[in-house]
Amino acid sequence: MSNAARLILVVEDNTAMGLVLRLNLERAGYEVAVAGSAEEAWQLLETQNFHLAVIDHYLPGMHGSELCAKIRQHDGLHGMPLMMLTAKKLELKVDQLLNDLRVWKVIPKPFSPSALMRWIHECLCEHELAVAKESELATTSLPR
Amino acid sequence: MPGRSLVPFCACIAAAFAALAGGMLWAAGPQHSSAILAHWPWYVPLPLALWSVAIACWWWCGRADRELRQQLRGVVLASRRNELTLAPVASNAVEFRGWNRLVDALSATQLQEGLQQRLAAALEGFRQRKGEQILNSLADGLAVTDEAGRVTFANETMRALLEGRNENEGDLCTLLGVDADEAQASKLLDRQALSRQVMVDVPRHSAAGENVLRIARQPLRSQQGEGTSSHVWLVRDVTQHVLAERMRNEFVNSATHELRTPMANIQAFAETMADALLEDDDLDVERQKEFCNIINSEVSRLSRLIDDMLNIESMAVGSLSLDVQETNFERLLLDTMAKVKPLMDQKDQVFEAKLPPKLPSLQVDKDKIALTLVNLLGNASKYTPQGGRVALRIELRTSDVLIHIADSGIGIGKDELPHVFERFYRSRDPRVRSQTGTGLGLALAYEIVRLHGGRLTAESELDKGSTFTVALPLPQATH
Repeated sequence: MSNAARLILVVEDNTAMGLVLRLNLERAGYEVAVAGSAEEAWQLLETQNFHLAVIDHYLPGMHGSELCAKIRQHDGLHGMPLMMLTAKKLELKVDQLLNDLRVWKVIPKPFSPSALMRWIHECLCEHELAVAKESELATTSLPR
Repeated sequence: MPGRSLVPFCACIAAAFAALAGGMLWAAGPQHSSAILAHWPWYVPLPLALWSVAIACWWWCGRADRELRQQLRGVVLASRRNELTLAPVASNAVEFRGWNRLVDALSATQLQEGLQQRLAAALEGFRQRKGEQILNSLADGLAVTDEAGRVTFANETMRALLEGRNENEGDLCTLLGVDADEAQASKLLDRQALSRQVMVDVPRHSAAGENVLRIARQPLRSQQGEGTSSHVWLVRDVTQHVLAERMRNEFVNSATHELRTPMANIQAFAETMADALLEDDDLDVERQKEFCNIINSEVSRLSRLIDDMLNIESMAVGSLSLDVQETNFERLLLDTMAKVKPLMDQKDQVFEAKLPPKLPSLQVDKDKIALTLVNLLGNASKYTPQGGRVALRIELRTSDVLIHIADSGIGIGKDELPHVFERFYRSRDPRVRSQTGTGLGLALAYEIVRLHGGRLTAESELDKGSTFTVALPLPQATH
């Protein structure tokens, strides 16, 4: 699958950061939607199928970790790969995010956009491999 | 010696003559005797008188001896009872003078010893009272409990902490109102910990509200080093310390966020632009300009934050200084409004500015007053919902100028209003917590206005809005 077919959701209240992430993702060939709050992101998630979400932790209203929990509880979205950006790494319960909410990576700000693109690529590859393995297992276990 | 030997000798001679006269009268026979008596009637009482005088002299001369003997007998008896009291003898004889000196010397020694004893007792009492005074003047509550956990001593601070509860009723933890289910408090109740020192910070609910007590309990050991079940308790109210620590931690957390966010933007835009140029990507000039502007604005944001932090630090050590100069007030207000207008536009807020037709010039530190007004107007916009109202009104009075900054925002609770100008203070309201901030802005604004000889005040009603008023003295009023 080419990057063009992959839709990435960026949830970031800082307009400048949203802009630079959109620009980098588009240059990498992804399709991008940017939401300024968790509520706005949830509306997009209900209407479109995203391959991955990059969520800022500190959002007005519902926080990024709450949005992750909501995604994990949703039947149609619970398997979606998630990445989290944060400027407050000290305050975060990173273990809980990684283990309980299955966030693929917690990225502290400031970060390198090219490194983020690399991680997004790795994450999508890993996820697609896991999905393929799962469907292969499901096929082989089908009764003949 | 003469006082003692001559008088009884004379008395004896007198007595002998008296006896001789009596004998002669008796030997002369009744006839001669009556003739003698008839002729010399004064011979009859003479021997008796002389005899009386002799006895009196004997008694007078022997009284010092008798007294001395009596006292010496008393010495034996008194020394058995350990109650030796001696008195001087009224005689001028050498041996009595010696005795009197001995008595004087002994009395002086006794007096000295008595004085020393009384002095020692007084000192002991003084030490005890002084010790009690020292314990009572301690800022920490101090108590001693016995084996059963009953309070055997409590100083005044401890009694104040007990808030009128009778110290003889129940154990100290219960009396202090410490929640036994609290994790830290359970360390005090652990029987295994009775033999070692325990120090815990525990919350408690008291009549004055919620506070935190630091309780240190130490087993009381006797001088022989034997452990006992008695304990010394030191209790200190550390509520303010804990709050200050919590505020400082929150500040570090907020400041980290405030520093990392612009840094992240700077790195992201700079790297994106560099990558695009390196890869010969089609990043047009307009976009490059936009990126540079964003980088510039984020650098300014970082710089402002660092200035705020440095100013607040200068404020803490009392070295925040002003560069006062004649300032065009109207220009200052227009520049300030231009800085905050984009924030209000982003949230579709209505901004009303009511300025008098002519504004005087001010003697102020232009940059610091601009920083104050940007802080106040920025806060007004930040804590006012989308579509709300922010107003700036200038009121000119004879001695000062009032700058009112009002908003229709979330407001501040009555309990929090007195604290808003404290360093690092941030409201507990979740609507405030959801916004970024360091808790420095208002503290700094307050100090800057104060240094100008003015006053910053706040009025607020929860869910209705707040009004902050800056009062700055006019030039003629300052002199």
